[in-house]
Amino acid sequence: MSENINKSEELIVTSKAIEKNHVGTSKISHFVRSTEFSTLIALIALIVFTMIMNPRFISVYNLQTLGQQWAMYALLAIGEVFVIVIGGGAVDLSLGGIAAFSGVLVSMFIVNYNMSPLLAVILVLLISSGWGLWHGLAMTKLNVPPFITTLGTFAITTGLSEVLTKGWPVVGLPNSFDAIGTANFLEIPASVVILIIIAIIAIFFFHYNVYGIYFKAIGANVEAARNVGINVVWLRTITFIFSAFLGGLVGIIVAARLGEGQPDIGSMYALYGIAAAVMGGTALTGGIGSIYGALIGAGIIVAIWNALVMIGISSLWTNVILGIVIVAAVSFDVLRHRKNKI
Amino acid sequence: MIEQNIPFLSLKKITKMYPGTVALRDVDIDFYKGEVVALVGENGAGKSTLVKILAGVIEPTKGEIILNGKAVKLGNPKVAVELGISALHQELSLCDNLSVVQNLFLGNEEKRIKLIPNVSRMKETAMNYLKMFDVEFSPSVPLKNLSSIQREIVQICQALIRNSQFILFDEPTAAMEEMDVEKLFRIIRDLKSKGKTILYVSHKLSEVIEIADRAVILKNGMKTGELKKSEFDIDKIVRLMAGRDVEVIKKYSSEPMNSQDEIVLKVEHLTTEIVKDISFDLKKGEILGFAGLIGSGRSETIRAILGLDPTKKAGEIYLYGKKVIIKNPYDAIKKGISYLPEERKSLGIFPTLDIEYNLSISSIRNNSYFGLIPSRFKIRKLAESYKDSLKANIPSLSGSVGTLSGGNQQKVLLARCLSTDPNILILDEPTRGVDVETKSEIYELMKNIVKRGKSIIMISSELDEVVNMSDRIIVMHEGKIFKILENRSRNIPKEDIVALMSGVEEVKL
Repeated sequence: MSENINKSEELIVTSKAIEKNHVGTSKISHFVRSTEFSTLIALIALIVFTMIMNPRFISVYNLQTLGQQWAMYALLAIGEVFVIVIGGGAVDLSLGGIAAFSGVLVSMFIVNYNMSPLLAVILVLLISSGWGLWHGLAMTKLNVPPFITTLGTFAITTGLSEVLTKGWPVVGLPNSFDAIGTANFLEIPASVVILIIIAIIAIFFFHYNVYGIYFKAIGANVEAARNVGINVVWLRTITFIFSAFLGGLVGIIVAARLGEGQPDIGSMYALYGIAAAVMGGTALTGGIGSIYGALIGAGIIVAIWNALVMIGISSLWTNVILGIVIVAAVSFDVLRHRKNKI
Repeated sequence: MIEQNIPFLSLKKITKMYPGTVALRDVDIDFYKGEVVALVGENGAGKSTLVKILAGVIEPTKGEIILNGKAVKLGNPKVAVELGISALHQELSLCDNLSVVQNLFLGNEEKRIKLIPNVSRMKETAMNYLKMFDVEFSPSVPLKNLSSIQREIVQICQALIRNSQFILFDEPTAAMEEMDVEKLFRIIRDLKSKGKTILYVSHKLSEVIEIADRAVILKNGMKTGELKKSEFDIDKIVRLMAGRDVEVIKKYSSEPMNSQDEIVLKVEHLTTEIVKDISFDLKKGEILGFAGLIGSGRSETIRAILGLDPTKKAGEIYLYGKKVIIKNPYDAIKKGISYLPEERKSLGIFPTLDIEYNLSISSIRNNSYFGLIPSRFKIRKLAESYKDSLKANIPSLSGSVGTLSGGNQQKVLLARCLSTDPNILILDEPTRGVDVETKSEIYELMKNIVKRGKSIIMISSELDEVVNMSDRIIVMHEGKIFKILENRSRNIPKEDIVALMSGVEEVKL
């Protein structure tokens, strides 16, 4: 009897302690403590630093170039957020290969087969999504780890691009197609417009939708998700399809910007995508993620890249430095999540 | 029986607290050299916590461990091993991919110069130890080829090689044949005669009575009794294991419920890889209890009905007399069946989602605009209403579900099940790991649910719960329904169910 009383007292004390923790959990303080916030601060700091180092930073041309690059990395990162959040150690390593393949394919369809650009784009996006369908089914039906299937697809698609082009870029794309990568609307690059559309859709599905909760639930505890009646197979497959679709879309945008289908783009895309996602608060263990964060994370990668150019460090060093920064940022985030757990 | 007066190892007021629950409270046990002590208790009584503390896997919150008169701290398993304590787990401490000799010396290899293992000498030593147990396998066979008694012997040899004085057997016979159990007992007696101290943890009381010199009984994290060999008696042990606080017994439903004759669910000849030919029906307003040992197929039956693993191979399911096929839990929810899985942590909770999403996830579409965009307002209202009706102590509904006590987590999951407004509620171990108070609240809730004409299937390892809550009890044994008992008057003796659960038919009912 007295024990029960003791226990209930204990409980009251703990619940009070918890309550205290929750006092001041207003939206603002919640935001300030989020990963997105610290990433945003880092991004702003980087931009300010670059602006001081080189005032040319804020020229329209430079901003447009940065925007195009940001759009690319952000699209990749959005796909990775979905794939990483659904958990099970999933990452999509195929994005670079799919991008190269889709760039080559869309160029060949248009140049070699006289296909209309619109049809070619739709066809290539479908083919890209097909790779994602395979990744999803391989994970959910065959239990092959996505790490392996997507890495395999990276090799296959990169290889196929080389085979199809014999290593040479596919040139001769019409202006109507190149516009996807080069046109501006009110000084805003087309690719940024595409990103904004995709981001709004992704944010709606991820942050303001029943399915977003289902994605996070699957990543948090897949068995429990099954038990409450969530269709794990279908939702996991859909995320891989979406990610691969975005990989293909990036490939098309890049081909349009370069004006040719290059088989050797994209070796670093998956890394950039994953890094942007994780810097933006997506936990590699699954269940936690943010599209907003991914957008900021992609911004950081572009800002670092541009800062290096602006302060005159040889572009040959870019990957070395980006690699170090990415691994450091991800390690830091992993550490942070571990601390939160304890 | 050497040095019988000075304990070799003593536990003094060992207490282990987890957020919200107390796993062990003020447990005192003395162990002497050359004796076999059995540790018994129901699931959740604290046996495994105690074993983990002795093996150095976890540290007690309070209390002392005294070894040979000195207080020691078992910070991790390595320290425990160095102090001469070895814990033998069924699966955990051996590597399937390595050979017997590699396993025996793992982390403890004999070396020639710094790094190069002295294989021939290790093999020789291994042979010598294995010979003691007259075994017929070579030390270089891979471990995965061994049977469970052979694995047990490998673990014992490992403990002996490490010169352990205190050997813990944690459910060693769970997957063992009758013959091998005898062999194991011979080995344990042999170890005892060598002056080793043995702690034997088991569910199987007949084994305990046969092998132990002394039995320590745990219940709800407290030591409720200690019996010498001369005092051993199954009834007595069962009573100590199951003895309830008087208060809670009162709160049990002993009033017979009037379940009606209308049959809501009928299962016929259900067969999967694990269960065979399961047929039963569930009446309106009834609580149907499932009893059985772990591995008897209780949860597997339910999961097969719900379209989860293991998948149904044969059999029919009828809802209100109509034949149905339940593809998955989503389908089940649509057909009015809700399921509370057994392992709260691994099968129920979404640790990274808010409490209110954890609560509402099964019914979230009904609380969304166009079934697509969740309405925080509706979800909050739903969560608030269940929080009040289940008397859950939840400081903030948008907090993390991990901060809640086991009992409150369970209430969140129950609310999740109820939020879909089911006609049939399937509860697998509804009160596992919750405190006494929450237990009686859950019983109260279950009574209210059946009063409203809904039906409940309850799987439970706690016999009190089964006997005091169920209108009928299905006893399962080795994948089959062994017996269906009428229990309207709540008076079936628990001992009879224990006997039926272990496959003994001749009980005077």
